[in-house]
Amino acid sequence: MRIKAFSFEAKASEPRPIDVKVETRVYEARRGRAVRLSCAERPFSLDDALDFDLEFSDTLQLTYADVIHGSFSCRVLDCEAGGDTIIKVLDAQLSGRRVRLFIVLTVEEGDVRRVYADRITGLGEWRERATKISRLASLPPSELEAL
Amino acid sequence: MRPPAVEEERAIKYPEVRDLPPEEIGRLARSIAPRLMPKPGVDYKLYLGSRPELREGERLLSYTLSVCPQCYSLLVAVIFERDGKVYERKVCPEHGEFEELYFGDYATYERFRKWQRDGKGVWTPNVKLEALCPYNCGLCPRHKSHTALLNLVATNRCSLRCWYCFFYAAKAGYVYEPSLNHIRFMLREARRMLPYPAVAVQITGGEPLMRDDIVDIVRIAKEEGYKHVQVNTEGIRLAFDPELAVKLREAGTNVIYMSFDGVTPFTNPKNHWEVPYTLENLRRARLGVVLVPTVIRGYNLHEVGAIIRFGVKHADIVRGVNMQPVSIVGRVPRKEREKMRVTIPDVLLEIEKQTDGQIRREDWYPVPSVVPISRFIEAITGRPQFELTTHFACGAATYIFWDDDGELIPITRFVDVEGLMQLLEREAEEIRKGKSKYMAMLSVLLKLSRYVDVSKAPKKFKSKRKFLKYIYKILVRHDYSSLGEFHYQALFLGMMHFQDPYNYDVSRVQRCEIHYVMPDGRIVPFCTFNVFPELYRDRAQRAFSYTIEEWEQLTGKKLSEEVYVRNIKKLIRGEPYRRAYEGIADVLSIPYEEHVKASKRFGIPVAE
Repeated sequence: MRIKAFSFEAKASEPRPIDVKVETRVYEARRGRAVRLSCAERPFSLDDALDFDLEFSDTLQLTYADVIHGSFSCRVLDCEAGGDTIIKVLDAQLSGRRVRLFIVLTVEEGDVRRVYADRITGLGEWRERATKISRLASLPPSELEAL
Repeated sequence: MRPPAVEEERAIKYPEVRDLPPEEIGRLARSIAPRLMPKPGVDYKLYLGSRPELREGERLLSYTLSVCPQCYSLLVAVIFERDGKVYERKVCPEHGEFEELYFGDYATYERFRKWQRDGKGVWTPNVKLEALCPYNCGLCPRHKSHTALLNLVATNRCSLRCWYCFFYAAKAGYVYEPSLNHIRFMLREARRMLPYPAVAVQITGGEPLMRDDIVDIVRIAKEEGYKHVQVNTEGIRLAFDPELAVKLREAGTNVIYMSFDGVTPFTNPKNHWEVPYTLENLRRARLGVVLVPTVIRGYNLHEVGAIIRFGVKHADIVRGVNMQPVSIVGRVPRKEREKMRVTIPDVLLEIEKQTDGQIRREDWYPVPSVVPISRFIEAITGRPQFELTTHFACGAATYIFWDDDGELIPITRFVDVEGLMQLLEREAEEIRKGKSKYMAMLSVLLKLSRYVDVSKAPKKFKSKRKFLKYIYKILVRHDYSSLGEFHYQALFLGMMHFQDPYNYDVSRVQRCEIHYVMPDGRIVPFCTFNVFPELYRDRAQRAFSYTIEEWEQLTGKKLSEEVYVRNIKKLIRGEPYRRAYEGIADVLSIPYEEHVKASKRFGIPVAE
């Protein structure tokens, strides 16, 4: 199963200042361990815009319509996954503030379902989030913290 | 040519489902909604490959996404400054270049821009993300602001036949009029929204007062938890039916939102003659009203000052004046658009001129400027708050007070709005970093007086304590009634510039807070609902409509007979008419024939 992810930088001044850098790593849960997937990289194309919105409209509250305001450089990661639970780790710098967000995907009969995504505007306590992510990703919290 | 919209027959036989319980109508509506979404390749295309170039004398401000006014396809647009004004330009590969005034004054644009604050988004989207913005509205996960005002279209019937309108039932060829159970379902959809559910609803139309059960609709809105209910009307029925005003208030209507385009028959042929009687009846019913002028260059821009003075004259019942610079719908050639086009800074400048500098441009602030109040209250209470995070170019507002000599005093003359907002923002940030809420509250209370100069305040606020009491109530007690109390002491002046396909900016629509709930349960920003009627409004309403025959059979009424005929002679003879405009416009010297001509030209027949 191919999993798409994005690493990008965006800067804009309108309508509100944006200064974002995001590096995404993609893992697969295998017998209680997170195994990093190797991903092919390619440049962003307009066909990726909808997937970009799917990934970041809730997590970072950022859309293609936002990044088009200014400068935007983006690498698309195409990752090959064999397992049925995928964890994306988004290391983001938002105007210098570092934040780590998680997305959990499950693969069932060829369908990828997003079962969890951190949301920058409603980010709760780490312990609470870790419990939830850990359960959904079938990974112990210690494994999550090591990612 | 715009591609033909998807042929939409009525999705259901509405008479057969109208009486179903709200939950069942909801299930049915949700099952139909996906079929009604805009269709790529049919309703629109994507042309995002190139950015429009800048020309000599133009300075880049930003790029954004916009649409082709002819085929609705998505385009990249450039926003730039030229000769002190802000413009938008885009090029459709099929229909060529479109350039439009975006904001009439660059300095105001910059002043407003710094107030931009984004909301927390919508955590309970009603639709999946399947298309780019604005072809995926419902709301979708991209949306950045919660619903501040929900619009619910109660009917597409109207007794007026205004020359420019294509919306009303007789012209549309069907009657859209959701049943009370259907309305309950729609209202519930917006109440489900997180992190902040809709709390204010506007019942609109068509003409909502055409419905005999309008009072029940208001009551249902209150039952469903809406704190603020307003009815958007041309006010004509209220001019002749004083009991209706009382019933609306008793059912829970907070305010009437009434079209009012000017102070003469020539600038306001829609309801110039009836408004004095409407105001009388609202006054008796103790039901407040907001006047809503649509402002058009070359038509009524020269009367914006008089409209405000009219509001002040009737301030015992008029709660605000909310001006709407024209949104140009339909295909209008550039030269024609330029004759009509007016933007927020243009109206602000005219108000400054027409009030002899009493209300200056600097007295206005963009809508999101009040976000620090919400953020401070949120930090104190720990709960998400109602916040106005619309795009800075969408709207502006101020409050004015007045002294006995008629001098208008904007709030900014005696309150340092900027300083106060900075204080609240700082304190909210301190709380987030761990400062005690009580210390922060105390700090604000102790510093509040620094931001108020009562020597410049209107006489009724010469006591510093009285004014600070209001601010204290709003910030600390943060209840709806404290804000209402403050409103009663002032006249709210607002400005809301709805978009059209020529000046469209997707970044504005993503931040929109004035939404419509559609009969299929989708919640759609104002500027997609009305800018792309074929893709949203008309398609959804037609799917849940009656044929004219069905409606006539159901009600025993004849649609063709629902036409208002104005008795100008009677209306201009009445004392309320003379009193209402006295000191504002010399309407009594206008010959009767000119009154008649103005009404007929607009499309409203006159009883001779």
